[in-house]
Amino acid sequence: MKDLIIDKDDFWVMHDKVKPFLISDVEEHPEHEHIVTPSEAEELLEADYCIQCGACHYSCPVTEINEQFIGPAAFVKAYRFEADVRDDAHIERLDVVNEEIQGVWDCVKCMECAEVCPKDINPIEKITKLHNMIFDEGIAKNNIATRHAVYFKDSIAKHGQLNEAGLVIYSEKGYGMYKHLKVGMKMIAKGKAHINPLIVPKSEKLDEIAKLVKISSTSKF
Amino acid sequence: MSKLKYALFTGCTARQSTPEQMMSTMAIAEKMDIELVVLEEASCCGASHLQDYDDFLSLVLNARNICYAEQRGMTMVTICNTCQLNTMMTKRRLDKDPELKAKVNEKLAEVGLEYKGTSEIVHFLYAIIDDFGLEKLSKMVVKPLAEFNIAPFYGCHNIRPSEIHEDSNGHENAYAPRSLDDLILACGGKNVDYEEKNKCCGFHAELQAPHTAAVLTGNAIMGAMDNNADMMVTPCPLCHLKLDTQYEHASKAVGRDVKLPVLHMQQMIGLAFGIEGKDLGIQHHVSEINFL
Ligand code: SF4
Ligand code: SF4
Repeated sequence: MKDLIIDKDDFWVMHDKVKPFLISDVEEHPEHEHIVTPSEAEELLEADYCIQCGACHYSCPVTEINEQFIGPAAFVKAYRFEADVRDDAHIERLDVVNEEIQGVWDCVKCMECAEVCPKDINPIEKITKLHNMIFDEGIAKNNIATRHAVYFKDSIAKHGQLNEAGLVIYSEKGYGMYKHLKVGMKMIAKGKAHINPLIVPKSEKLDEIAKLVKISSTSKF
Repeated sequence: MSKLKYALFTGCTARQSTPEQMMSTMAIAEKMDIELVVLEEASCCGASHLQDYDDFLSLVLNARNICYAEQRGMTMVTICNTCQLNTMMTKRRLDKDPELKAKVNEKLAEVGLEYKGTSEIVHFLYAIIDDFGLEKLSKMVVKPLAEFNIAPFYGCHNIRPSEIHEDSNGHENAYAPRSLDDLILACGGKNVDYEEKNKCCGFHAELQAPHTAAVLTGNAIMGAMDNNADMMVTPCPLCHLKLDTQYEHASKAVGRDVKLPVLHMQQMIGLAFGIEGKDLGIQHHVSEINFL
């Protein structure tokens, strides 16, 4: 049996990184219990059912390439406490998963973690929730990843479609564009991109889309 | 059989960075006598990023797109894996959660729409396999791709999570997918089996994590090359962009020159049907098509 057991040291290092415990100012002599209602408990989205098997962590292609990446299992753990009404850490823990390279922004959205989990926990769903919490708490930094997410809304309101060249320029803040020049020029030469990135196809009934963006938005950046 | 008709959700990429995908989709649909009604009203699906910023807005916009297929009483066909996943995820969530559906419909009502949940959503690959049929397709092949070893590259968002896709992708096994292999065989080509065929190309983190993304692209092309592939084929325009345009970054990341011609599945079908390369947009490829 022993040779079937894998070395999971790196898994536990990442697990410990997200402060996997309840952080709460508990009164020394509480007079009553801190009751969690069933609907509040549902907010955990079964993240507390994780058995730490590591299957998602080891099928994640990013953990394989980027040694600092916290990985899906530890993200699930972070969400499990962030979504707990008794937890007071919030920003302290979210800061860890909000960091570039190690945090949620470096996920490639391959869905391997959702596919492999034997407990149907759907780690990527929790990763999306962590992204949402980062914006909700107002701690999203102005960096390439956040600009990339936010640009979709602006472009959809304006064109209905995503302005693909515009997305790269905005995310890279202009000056980061040098990395894409060579590929960009080839794409222009092959008719895959426009010299003028402002030329974007537009959806019909654009006023309808713009109105929905206006009345349905729930986030700010 | 009555004529197949679908509402086509093109997504943004087929209208911008992969014009050849739009051309080849329309070209083969015409040959196959499939009617595609383009959803000109549709917006971007959010490409798995909008929901990170604003999940509710993403639901409303995707539900609106589906409304326009419902209004026409048609199944929605997508030609992008990520459009398929985002639209299908929206449908699944709204169909099983009446409260959420009501909230979304409250917004849609402001523009005179209602999401009902009456339209199916299928990627074109599976519409071809399940509705048109590969046997019928193979009978239309006039230029079998027999000389070629073709490496299928499935793309994550058509096969994972299988819980979301299974009813619309013929219960494809995410660990051993078959559909694209079968399509290659139906076109008269030889399918290449390799480890990376169901792996990620890295597209969605390309700007944020360029090294990770480049290694994934490099591994994919390398896997295909090492198994003697002459070309790759994919149903996803985002995978296509990554494999077709990013081979230099990928080569640097994996320390080896990697490059292969990459076809959209529509182009592969079109070539087998004897459609001219230029009508399938092969002039728009960055990694040149060198075998015609
Ligand atoms: S979706 Fe993200 S976290 Fe999950 S396996 Fe893929 S890269 Fe890793
Ligand atoms: S695969 Fe599921 S149960 Fe196993 S560690 Fe990941 S989330 Fe937990």
